[in-house]
Amino acid sequence: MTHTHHRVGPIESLKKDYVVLVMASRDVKYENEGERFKKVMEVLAKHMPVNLGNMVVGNKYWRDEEEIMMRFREYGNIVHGVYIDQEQVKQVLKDLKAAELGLSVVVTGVYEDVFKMLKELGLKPHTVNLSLGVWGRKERLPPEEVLEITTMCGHCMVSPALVMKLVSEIRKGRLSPASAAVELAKECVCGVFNVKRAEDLLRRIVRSKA
Amino acid sequence: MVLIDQGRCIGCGICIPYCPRNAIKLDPNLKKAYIVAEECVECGTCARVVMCPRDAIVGVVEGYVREVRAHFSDPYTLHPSTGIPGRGTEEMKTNDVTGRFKRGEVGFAIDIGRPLVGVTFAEISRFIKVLNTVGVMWEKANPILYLLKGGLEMGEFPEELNNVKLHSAVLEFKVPIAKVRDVIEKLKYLAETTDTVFSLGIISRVDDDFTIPVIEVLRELGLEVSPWAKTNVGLGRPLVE
Ligand code: SF4
Ligand code: SF4
Repeated sequence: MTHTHHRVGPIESLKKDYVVLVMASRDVKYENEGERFKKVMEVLAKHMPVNLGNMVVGNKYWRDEEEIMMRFREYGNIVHGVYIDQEQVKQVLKDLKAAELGLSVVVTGVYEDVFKMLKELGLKPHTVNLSLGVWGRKERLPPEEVLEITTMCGHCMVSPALVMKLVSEIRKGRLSPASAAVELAKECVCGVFNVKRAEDLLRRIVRSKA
Repeated sequence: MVLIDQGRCIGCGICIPYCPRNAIKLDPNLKKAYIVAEECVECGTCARVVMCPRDAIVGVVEGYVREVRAHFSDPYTLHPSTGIPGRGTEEMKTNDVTGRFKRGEVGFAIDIGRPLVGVTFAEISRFIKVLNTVGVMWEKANPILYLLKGGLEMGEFPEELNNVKLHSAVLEFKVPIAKVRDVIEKLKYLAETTDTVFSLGIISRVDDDFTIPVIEVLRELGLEVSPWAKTNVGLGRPLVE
């Protein structure tokens, strides 16, 4: 599962996008795993995520947030929080470290910035998954500005046609970029789609092609 | 499969742009929406998200082929072989407690068909056969490998799956760092000869001084590494050092 990987765009835009994923390995069998995840969700929610997801329930724009915070399986849970600045991520990591839950934590984002945060917090990067981008018939891909939005759902559930439809609605004054971003976020079941970044990218598309 | 109930549909077209595979069409004569079965990968997005005014989108997955599609395309479905949702495994996300990738080893996650182009089982089979010539250590828990008939060496899927399209499929394996060049050579060949795309992820342990040993090899090969990456921050316990 590489669903938080392979986002694209200019570095300034990527620097406003961090996904914190917390996962319980099936090899470990944590006691009271559900309780541990309730604590994780408290931490993720406390630091104002722009999206929140739980693989059992869904994302916060499609499902009830209370259910996302509370409902877990016995084993093998996965949850995500999405943030737009480094300070938020640092606070999340600080709290997760202090909570000593023993669960695996992965931060996806500009990795040099992530490494800097870890150093400041006295943590060490254990393993990385680097992105070497897209190979093969790239001419079959949607335009780059659409991909910047759709790649924020690594399962590719966010439809390029919906992006273009919503851009047209924004141009006609029928929809705000913020509401359009929320509509797109509903398609990303896991809740890893950065709604705020999508809003900025939609504004950019609306401005660029009248 | 996901269906549009023709008796209920009023042809408003709201659902059409929501499909990431452009599989929903409008019949101009009947003024009803319908789903093109060969293009639909059973991702379930339309049934989940569209506010259909007539509740005409019905999510029913029936039959072996449609079930296979749903397991690989709908992140909300728990995969029977891994027990986790999605197309892949725990990969490096839990490497701090599983030690799947050791120092001196490099992991590859090749997401074929991603983003948005899709891939057939026949093409996945071709990738497996080409990569087999390098002698990679396949991730045995990867759900796609469970569908092979005749073992990994053969790299063949059941005949009935060959033309079936998935939204994407991840192949996962590892090699010693000395073999990275050989794998990249094969991937360059696959990139030149495929009719689809693939997104490439490369997994490595990080040294204590925060350096990533594989980056030097990739740079020597003239490859561009994105600033975007996934970092396991080592909070899992018991920790594999
Ligand atoms: S949204 Fe519902 S009623 Fe409208 S075209 Fe689609 S299936 Fe038919
Ligand atoms: S299930 Fe997915 S691929 Fe099939 S029609 Fe619905 S949105 Fe499109």
